[in-house]
Amino acid sequence: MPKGVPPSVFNSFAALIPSAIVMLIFFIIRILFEFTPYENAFDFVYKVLQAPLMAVGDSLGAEIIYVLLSSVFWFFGINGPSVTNTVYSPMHMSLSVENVKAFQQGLSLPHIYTQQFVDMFETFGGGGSTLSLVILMVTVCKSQRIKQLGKLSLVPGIFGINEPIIFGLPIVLNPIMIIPFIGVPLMNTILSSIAFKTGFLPYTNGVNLPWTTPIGFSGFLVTGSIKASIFQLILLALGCLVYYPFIKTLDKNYLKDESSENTKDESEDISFDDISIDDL
Amino acid sequence: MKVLMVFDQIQAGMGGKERAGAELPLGGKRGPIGAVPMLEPHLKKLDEEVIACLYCGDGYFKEHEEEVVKKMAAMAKKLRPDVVICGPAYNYKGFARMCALVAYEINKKTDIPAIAAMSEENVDTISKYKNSVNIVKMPKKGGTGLNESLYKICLLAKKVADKEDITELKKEICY
Repeated sequence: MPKGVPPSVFNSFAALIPSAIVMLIFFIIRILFEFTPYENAFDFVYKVLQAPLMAVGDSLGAEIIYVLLSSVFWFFGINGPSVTNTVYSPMHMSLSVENVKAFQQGLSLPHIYTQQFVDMFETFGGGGSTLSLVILMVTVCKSQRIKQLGKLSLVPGIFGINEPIIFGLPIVLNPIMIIPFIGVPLMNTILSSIAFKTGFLPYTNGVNLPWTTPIGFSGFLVTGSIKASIFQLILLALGCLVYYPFIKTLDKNYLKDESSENTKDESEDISFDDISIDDL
Repeated sequence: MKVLMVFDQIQAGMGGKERAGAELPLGGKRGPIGAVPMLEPHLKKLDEEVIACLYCGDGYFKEHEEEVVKKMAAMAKKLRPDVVICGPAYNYKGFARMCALVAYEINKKTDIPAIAAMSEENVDTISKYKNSVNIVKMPKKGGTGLNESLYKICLLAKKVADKEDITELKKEICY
């Protein structure tokens, strides 16, 4: 860059180089795919990933892979379900449709792992089942950062929105929170699966309820049983137990940061309190 | 050479044009904040160092004009810099007025020299204060020739601090 170019302009040009490399690499990958029998990356994903998963379809194993991948993607800052649903959504939806058809004809419901199972029994308050986490943030945490964020996130959390926590706490690339963030949805999926398999809960009727429907209501609406609502609340409480040690650790770290920040700020601040204009 | 800066909320890096930012009350920080890194290469070349930055939201200033001006001047006296730079104010009208008023007050009430910098869009402020305050010409936000004008601000600051003759320079770079 010639001399006198402002740093911000220079930096934007510097960013062009990595993006050009990325584009080149993916262009080459694209061309390479054309030489394979799959012809493009989409067909490759379909044939290698989606088709086998559809085959195992209605099973706990497939569901665990789905939940696991969704959480892991979130950990890297990628909207997990947006990615996994490209593969899984057709499967979940078709199982829902089969259930709703059976429900309308008064037959026994065939499938457990429907879209409703995904939306209403795997996670509460968004990916990672963070509604449990928000409750802890508001009730037991002491650092200002976590408390304030908890208050902000509580209402969206009830409706399944948790981006403030994912990026604000943050969950993204946070080695402490990754364990419960992956663990709680897995626990929910396995326990719900057991509850349905043992007949404790009636299968979901396949009615397509918005995924934002709050916990408690949603369980009742998709199964017609009040037991499902209570079961959801039990899972929520269990989630709190799992999240507790981890958020407390994070809380302690943030408290330490906050107290050291405060002392630093005081020394740097210039106080106008003792300034008298008569000094002039 | 010790420099004291006077910023609004935007140049201090403490807020934007919205109400919450504009209401930032009078305050200050020791050491460089906000827009200082942009001036840093020129400051270094001229052996100047920012010892502190005072700041005030333009909305807050509008409501408490006299108090802010007097307190900033009193604080400048207390901190004892060699020179005070008020700005760069670009075409921000409220901030430009604050720069002119604060520089005027410091020049009048203390023995510390103070200068201001703003773009030609601030017609009223410039015509009112150009004879009593050294106001360095600079482009509006996003205008061309910013880097050059930043150097000129620092250069004038050095010359006034060293009590050099600035008549020629003033003709060239000030309003």
